[in-house]
Amino acid sequence: MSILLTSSTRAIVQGGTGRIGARQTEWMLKAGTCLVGAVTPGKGGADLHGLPVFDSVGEAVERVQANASVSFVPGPHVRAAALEAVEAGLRLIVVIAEHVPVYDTLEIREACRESGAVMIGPNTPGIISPGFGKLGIMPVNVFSPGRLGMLSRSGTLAYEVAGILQAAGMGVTTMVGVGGDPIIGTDMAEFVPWFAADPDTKGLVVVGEIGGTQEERLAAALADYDLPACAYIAGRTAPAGKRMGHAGALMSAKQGSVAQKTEILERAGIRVAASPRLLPATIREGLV
Amino acid sequence: MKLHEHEGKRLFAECGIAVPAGKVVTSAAEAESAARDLGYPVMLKAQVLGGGRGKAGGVAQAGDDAAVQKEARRLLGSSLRDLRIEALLVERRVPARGELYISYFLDYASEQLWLLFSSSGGMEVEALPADKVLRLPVAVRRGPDLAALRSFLEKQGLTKLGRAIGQLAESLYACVRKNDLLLAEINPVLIASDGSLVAADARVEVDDNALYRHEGIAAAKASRRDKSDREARAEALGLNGFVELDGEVGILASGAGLGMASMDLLQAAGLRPANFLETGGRITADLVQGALDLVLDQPGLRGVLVNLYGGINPMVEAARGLVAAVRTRDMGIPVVVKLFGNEQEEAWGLLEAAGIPTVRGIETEEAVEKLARLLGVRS
Repeated sequence: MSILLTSSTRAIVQGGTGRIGARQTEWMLKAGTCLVGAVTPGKGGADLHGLPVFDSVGEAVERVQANASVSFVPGPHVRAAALEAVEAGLRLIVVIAEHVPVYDTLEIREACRESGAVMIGPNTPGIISPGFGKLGIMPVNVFSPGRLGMLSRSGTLAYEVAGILQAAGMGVTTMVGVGGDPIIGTDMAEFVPWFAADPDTKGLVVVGEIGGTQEERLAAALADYDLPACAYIAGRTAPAGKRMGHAGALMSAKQGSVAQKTEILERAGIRVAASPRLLPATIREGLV
Repeated sequence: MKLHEHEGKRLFAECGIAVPAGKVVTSAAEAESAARDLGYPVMLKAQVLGGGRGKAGGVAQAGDDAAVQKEARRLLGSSLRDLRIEALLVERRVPARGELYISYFLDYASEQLWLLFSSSGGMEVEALPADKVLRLPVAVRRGPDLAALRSFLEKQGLTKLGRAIGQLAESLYACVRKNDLLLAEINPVLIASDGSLVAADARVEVDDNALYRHEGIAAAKASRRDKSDREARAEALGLNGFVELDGEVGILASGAGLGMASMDLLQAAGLRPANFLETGGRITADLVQGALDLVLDQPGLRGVLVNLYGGINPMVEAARGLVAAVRTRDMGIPVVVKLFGNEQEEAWGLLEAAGIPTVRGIETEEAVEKLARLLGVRS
């Protein structure tokens, strides 16, 4: 099986009628994703690669029983679109946009927590479950179906790691890009119970990076479950006090270094590979 | 983006928080005339970013024209923690019978907004005993829990000031949300003789991602000269991240994780990165050409590693940009390109036809090894 994006997912695309959204919608359909419509206010009645376009999320819920959304809405409009999706009762909200104001993220996160919906992102490649498609912008050709759950703070590095795993004959149940911002809807630790409950997921691969405390909380969360894990953490040579592309990849002089995260993860029994290329061997030793 | 004290105080005042009467000046003559208008005694405060100015000697008091001249001359043009003092805030001194501390700050470690309050102001809040400080998580859709603040004030014996402090907490929260502030700290809050509260300082940081909805603050940012020339070029190009380092191999990557992994793997191979550069998801041929030019303009380079992935980014466009940059320069050093994703075959063809060393694989390490071989470094 997989987590969150499963056989019961019926997703809409918000902001799918723009140039990028339309192309990504086409690729998500090709990947076999169960998309049931698109929502762009003012474009109701149009057609997007064979999908009906609605004016509101509420309409999409009523007409095509949507229960999830992937949003290509740009930063300034993310808040309104996501809150509309939560209020309409969707259970999974994937926000692709980067440069979302942090208070907008916090408001969406609070709304999701109150209603029990899951928010992925912002600044994320999204989620992919080989066999059930993807809600996001990642390539499908590096992800094979398999037995590993995967969590990543980075998009492009996740693809490289997935490609390396694939070349070693390893695939994934679900890969989630949690988002590169310092405050995100759902952090890595919160995905652990779902992966642990999935009978097909036998182990977890984590692509972390400097800054914040997500890896530390992940280590604590894994202690409560019988789910072996291994990791690669990027940014060993990054200087303190400089933002490395992701707003979340900022380590202080005291906190958030690769050495610190590695120590905490290893103390919790999570093997940390020194480079992406070493991950398959680390997985063979530790997970299978 | 961090704001200067006087910029922060303007935002506070707009939200109904009392601040001392004051004026920003850039010369001793201006300081004297401002002091006369405000009335003595006055405070002269260096407008540099960061806290702890008092301790570092960036704040002075003056009781007459001569003292203002002397202190203004001493401060202006000198440096505080390597930051040049270019302006002073001259303020009428507010007689106070007590000092408080209040701040809202968005903590990335706990991923929460916090209200911090203490009945002891004027010193670093971290230095205060835990029972003297109230730490309240704030739900951003509800605002601060004023009842919890009131009960803390009762315990601290501050019932008389309860109303004014509650009002200040509310006004400051309104200011935080109105202006998308990541940090809004008033330390100290002065308790004036009539019991009113005055913000004697302002440490304020604004969310860069929200500047589009705050024109006034964005204009202040545009006029800052706090970046190196190359950092300013990176920003003008629209790159997501550019950090100068002190090595000899330039990096151009299309993702933060890829960029950091490139740095780590270069270092492991005995090569030191000269920079971190992440393009973000809006690649065009022009952007990539500009980014490679920026990387190549760094002094002392021995080589460049380009590490691109095409998902949302078009790889043929990227390849065109790389070829254009290499063609228009006198290239004395190798540029190794690893690229995969959409349109990869066509992109590889363009790069190889231009004689650019290209790695047709997914592993960054392959590209690092290729570059190391070209540079004669054994890994």
